[in-house]
Amino acid sequence: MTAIDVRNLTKHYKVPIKQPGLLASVKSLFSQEYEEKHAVEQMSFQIEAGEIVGLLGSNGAGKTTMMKMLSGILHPTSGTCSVLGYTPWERKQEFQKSIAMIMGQKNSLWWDLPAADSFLLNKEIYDIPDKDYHETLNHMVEILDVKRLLTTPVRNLSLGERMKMEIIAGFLHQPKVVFLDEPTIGLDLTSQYAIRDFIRTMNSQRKVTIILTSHYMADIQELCKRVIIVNKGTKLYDGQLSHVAEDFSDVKLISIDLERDVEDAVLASIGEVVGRDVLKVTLQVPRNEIPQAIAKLGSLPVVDVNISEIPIDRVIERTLAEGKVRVNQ
Amino acid sequence: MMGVSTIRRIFTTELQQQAVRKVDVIIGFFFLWVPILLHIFLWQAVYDINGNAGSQLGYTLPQMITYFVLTLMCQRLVGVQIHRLLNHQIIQGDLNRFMVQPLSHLGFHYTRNAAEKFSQFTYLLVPAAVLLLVFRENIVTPTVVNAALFALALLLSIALNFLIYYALGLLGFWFGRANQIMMFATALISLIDGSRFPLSLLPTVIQEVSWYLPFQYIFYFPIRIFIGAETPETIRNGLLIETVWIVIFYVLVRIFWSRGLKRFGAFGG
Repeated sequence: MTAIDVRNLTKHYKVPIKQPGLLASVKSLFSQEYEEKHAVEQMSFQIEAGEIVGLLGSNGAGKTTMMKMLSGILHPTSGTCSVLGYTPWERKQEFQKSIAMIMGQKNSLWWDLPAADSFLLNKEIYDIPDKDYHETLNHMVEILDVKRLLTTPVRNLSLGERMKMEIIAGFLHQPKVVFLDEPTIGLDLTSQYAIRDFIRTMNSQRKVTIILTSHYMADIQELCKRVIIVNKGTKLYDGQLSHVAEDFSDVKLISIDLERDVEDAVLASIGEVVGRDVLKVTLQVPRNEIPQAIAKLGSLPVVDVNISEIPIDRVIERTLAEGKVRVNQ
Repeated sequence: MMGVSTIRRIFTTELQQQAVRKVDVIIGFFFLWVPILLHIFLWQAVYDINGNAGSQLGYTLPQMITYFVLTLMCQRLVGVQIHRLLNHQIIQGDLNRFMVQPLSHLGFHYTRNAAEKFSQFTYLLVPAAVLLLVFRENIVTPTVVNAALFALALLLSIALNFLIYYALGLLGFWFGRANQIMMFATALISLIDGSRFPLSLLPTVIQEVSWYLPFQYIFYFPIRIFIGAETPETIRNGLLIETVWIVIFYVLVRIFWSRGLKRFGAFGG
């Protein structure tokens, strides 16, 4: 069964443009110029019920705009979209009761009260029967291991704990489709793992259809078989993640700051140089060669070292550059 | 429309949220004795210097003092910040939640406001009684009927005031960050809502016009009832006009909201 059917969805914004400076500010009072921004352009795809799909793209690629249209916040400029048979932006109650949108950077809980109070309000808003409410809540609280935090005021929770509560609040009414916008942003690893596990469980046990955006490649790799890559509002790729990212799971980036210049050849002997800005160098190194690479760095005039996962932006850039991506409409 | 159980839940949750700030609210209120004393000294001096000031200003000395004491108290009970909150939500895109959930923004915030005012009322009842008792020599003791009518008018003014400022906040849909516009509007309203001084000190023309505007019903009208400056007939008419304005603003707010949301949906948050 198709849960989400998007056809030729397009969203153009008018954004006011303003030159820098005071004079320009005064001018803009009298004649405001607008620039048309093409946030999403002729996007089409179908998502089956029970799928988890990753929406990938760099900042400003149109991910959030897409999510906002799918959840009914924005009207498209043209095109059609059906989510569970509803047109999202008509915002019918039955539609709203069967979806959830969880944004990593927004707070929807009552700040001074324990999260349990916010859950009780959601119970009323969504008309959740007592039995379902307790069952679902207990189940989720167990998976995320937050039972002891239910009575702590939200303001006293850590970011990770708060996000877990946000996610419980979002899943409480057993939505059939859930939009997760950066659910793990800024969280520590333990919380990231816990939330990832939770999403996987909800998907497999309750067949929840999920669209996920994330800055962490690990989230996407752990959860999504299928990804849709967007760039500048258009769809670049739609298909198996394994086709685009097979060789990214086992490499890491080592960023180093050098005290003085070092020859390229020396750096290349440690790992593949993927970025160089005079004294700032980024190396790509296979995961199992990290210890040796670190050892070799010891002989260089290194001021600072940072090891990180490959950011999604780079994955996309590289896949684009390598021509792996085919545009399939 | 929100169900009764949803309204009840929002109301009780807000009561709990308010309880967290209870001590702060009560202590803040007690400090009203400072401005109250100030008004007592000020108006005693004014009335002493000019023996027949009472007849010129249209109020006896206790009436005048009571007027200002009550504006201080009523501002705590009626005043809202919903315009700022709403404007902020529009700019920051925090409205999203209300577009994704089957929850009315107006209903949610109106209920929260009602709960906030209710809890403030219960917290402030004792301190207000204490203050009124301490200064009983200087202020008017209302008749039971006037006190009851004052309470009724104040209830209506809580609703009216909320809707007026809610409408003001909705301007954010068209103007974006509207801090200056809102500050200007608030200052203008405060001139003719009776919160700064009795409107009877203004030229007659303004007073007559103001009778048909919504603003004087926020503070001026209820307080005049309390100090016994309105007749049964003007009270009846006033309550009627106030109710009509509540209906008008409710309709206005609904229209602004749906138009604004269309714009929001087209432009993005």
